[in-house]
Amino acid sequence: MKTIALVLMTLLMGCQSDIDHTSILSARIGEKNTALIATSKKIGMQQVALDKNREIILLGDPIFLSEQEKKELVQQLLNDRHYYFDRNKKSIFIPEVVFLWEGEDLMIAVSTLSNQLRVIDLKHSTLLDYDPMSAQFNPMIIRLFVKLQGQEE
Amino acid sequence: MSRFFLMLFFVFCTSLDAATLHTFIVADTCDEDIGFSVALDAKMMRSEMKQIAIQSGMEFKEYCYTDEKMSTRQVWDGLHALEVDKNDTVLFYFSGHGFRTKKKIPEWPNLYFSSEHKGIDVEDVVRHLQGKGGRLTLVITDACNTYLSCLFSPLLVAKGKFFAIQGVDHHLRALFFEASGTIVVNSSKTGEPSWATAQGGVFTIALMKQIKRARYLSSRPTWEEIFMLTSSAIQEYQTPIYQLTE
Repeated sequence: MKTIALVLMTLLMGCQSDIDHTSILSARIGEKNTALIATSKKIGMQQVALDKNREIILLGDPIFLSEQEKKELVQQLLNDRHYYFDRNKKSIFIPEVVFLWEGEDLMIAVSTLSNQLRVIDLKHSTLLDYDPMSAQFNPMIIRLFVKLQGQEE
Repeated sequence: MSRFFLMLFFVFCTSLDAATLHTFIVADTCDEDIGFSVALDAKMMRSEMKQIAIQSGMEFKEYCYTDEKMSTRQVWDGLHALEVDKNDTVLFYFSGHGFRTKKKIPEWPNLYFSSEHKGIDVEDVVRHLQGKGGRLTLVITDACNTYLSCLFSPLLVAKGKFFAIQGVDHHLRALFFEASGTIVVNSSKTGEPSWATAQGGVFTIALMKQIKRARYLSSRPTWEEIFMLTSSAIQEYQTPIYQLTE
């Protein structure tokens, strides 16, 4: 009896961790933003720079992500295990690209140099360290960046 | 007559002990991302150094550059105005963002002042403080040592007019009162980040722990030992670098 209960508990805990894998992220960036990232129809990516006041300025034209690219991006972004929530790097955040959610006041700026991203909406700006997913996330960003450069040529 | 010599001897001994611990604290408490953590570092450092000065029989002087006082100009003005006697210990402590560029050869980072988007090279601070002629110069920085593109790197502000090269509890005295030379420490090696947590900087917390622990050792502590133990305690996060010169 004890064994069955233990097995059931383990199974339940396993299911729970699979379902609820963005609870910390949601608490940080807001449930609305988490839902937007998951459900958006159109996501654009654009190159950026910082002006002298360290404000983000958009450069050139955006590219829009294909269904496959969008799925890959959302899978990478929406996972608590892909971030360090207990610490931040003492490096200067200088983004190279941003992801834009069309028709929404949501933008995610990414710096592959420092493995950090900043989720920005009208009210908040949250910096996250994504080192645990950098091995998968950065190559994806580079791939998209090459595509973006190709479009400009 | 013998009473006169006794008094003279007493005055001589007292003057030998008349040393000051100058604590120069610079912390980027206004930074929107790590300001809360940096503020804890500054608080920890201020309280610990005050205790150390009392327990090692040194006079304590504090120069604190946080909040709106944390600017390159005010820090350099403060460094220039600093008056140091030959028996004094000077501690320069920084907590905040750090950076380096590919062009930079020395292993020490540049210290970032977020409100101005400007920086100060650690090397300039070391040279300037060495020129003050104190007994022990300690430069401890808890900042990233990661690369930035030259294009984005903040302007470095070096206002140093460099002069000729010039650092009770018996264990704390050994570290802060008897040690001499120059010690430069950064919380991470070239190309590596340093981490800020809700409790303070990973490096600053570990260093403070080792300095506190030094009071209770059976043998006299050395700075080398303190830094080795600090490094080993945080090796899974970052790799501190240090240099001790006579």
